[in-house]
Amino acid sequence: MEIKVLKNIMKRNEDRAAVNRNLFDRFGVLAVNMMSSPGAGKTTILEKTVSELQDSLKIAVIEGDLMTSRDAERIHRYGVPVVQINTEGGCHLDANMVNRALEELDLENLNVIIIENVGNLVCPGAFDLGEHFKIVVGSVPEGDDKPEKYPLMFQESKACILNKIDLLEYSNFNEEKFTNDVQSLNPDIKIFRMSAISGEGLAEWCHWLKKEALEVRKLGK
Amino acid sequence: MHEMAIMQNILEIINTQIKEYNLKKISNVKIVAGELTGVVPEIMEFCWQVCTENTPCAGAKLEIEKLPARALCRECSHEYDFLEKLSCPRCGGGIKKVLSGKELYVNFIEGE
Repeated sequence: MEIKVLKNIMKRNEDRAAVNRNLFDRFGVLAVNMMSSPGAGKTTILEKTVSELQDSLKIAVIEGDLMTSRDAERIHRYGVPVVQINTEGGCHLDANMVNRALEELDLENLNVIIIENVGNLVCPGAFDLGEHFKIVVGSVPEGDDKPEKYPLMFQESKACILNKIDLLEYSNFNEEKFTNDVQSLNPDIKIFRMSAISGEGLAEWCHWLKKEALEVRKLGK
Repeated sequence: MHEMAIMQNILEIINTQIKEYNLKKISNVKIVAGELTGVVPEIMEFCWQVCTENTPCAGAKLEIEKLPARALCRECSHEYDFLEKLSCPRCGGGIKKVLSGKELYVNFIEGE
């Protein structure tokens, strides 16, 4: 006997994501899901972002990491709340892990939660965490072909940071191709050129993030 | 390698059906997975074999239908497969809407 099932495989995760989304909205906290390959510079960008914005916004970070707590320790130094999720080898965060992490945060007293996903351009794309939007980080040493190879990330993100632009002059990275490919996939995406190390482009990104946070706050409270 | 997490969800869906229809043995399962979901059929097959051992699904065939990543061009409304080339092959425009490629569902199961 053949039984038509037609059931969404990701439903359990999506239901959990909806719970998270409700929480974020209720407390007027902007939630951002930050994704990239390993080594693109997510944690450095976060360190600089926290340092730049912590006087004007209450920021918390959820750190997804395979095994270590190194990234969480780096953020912890800035004195903002950090929750570490150790996936113990798992290649992505899911909505349930984030839900448990939220229990450790005082949502009432926050404006922004940045969730640093596990470094991976494939698997995290399949798991909605309940975030308001995704951002994807690409970096010059990875090469300009990432949008072509991992289109989903770029297609679904609200913003894309191109990091390590201080290395452009030493590489054959074709920035025009990268930008065109990203915009082909996603005409509305906001692209930030950045060198998190030198600080170039950081102010523009932080300004944008702050604006987004204030909008969510207005709707929530 | 998010296939194991996906497989657990699939088995949960199948087990609900097994209970509902009081099935003893599953012979065939069909999954639909869009090209953008990053699901690798060979890994799914491996996860399937590992997870179904000594269950009513043991030995059942797992069929995975891949749906292409199709987009609607924002300039000329042409429909194209954007994994081959990100911009529209007809006019060079970009994506207005993704039409398919993100699907991930259990289509049907066969058993008795």
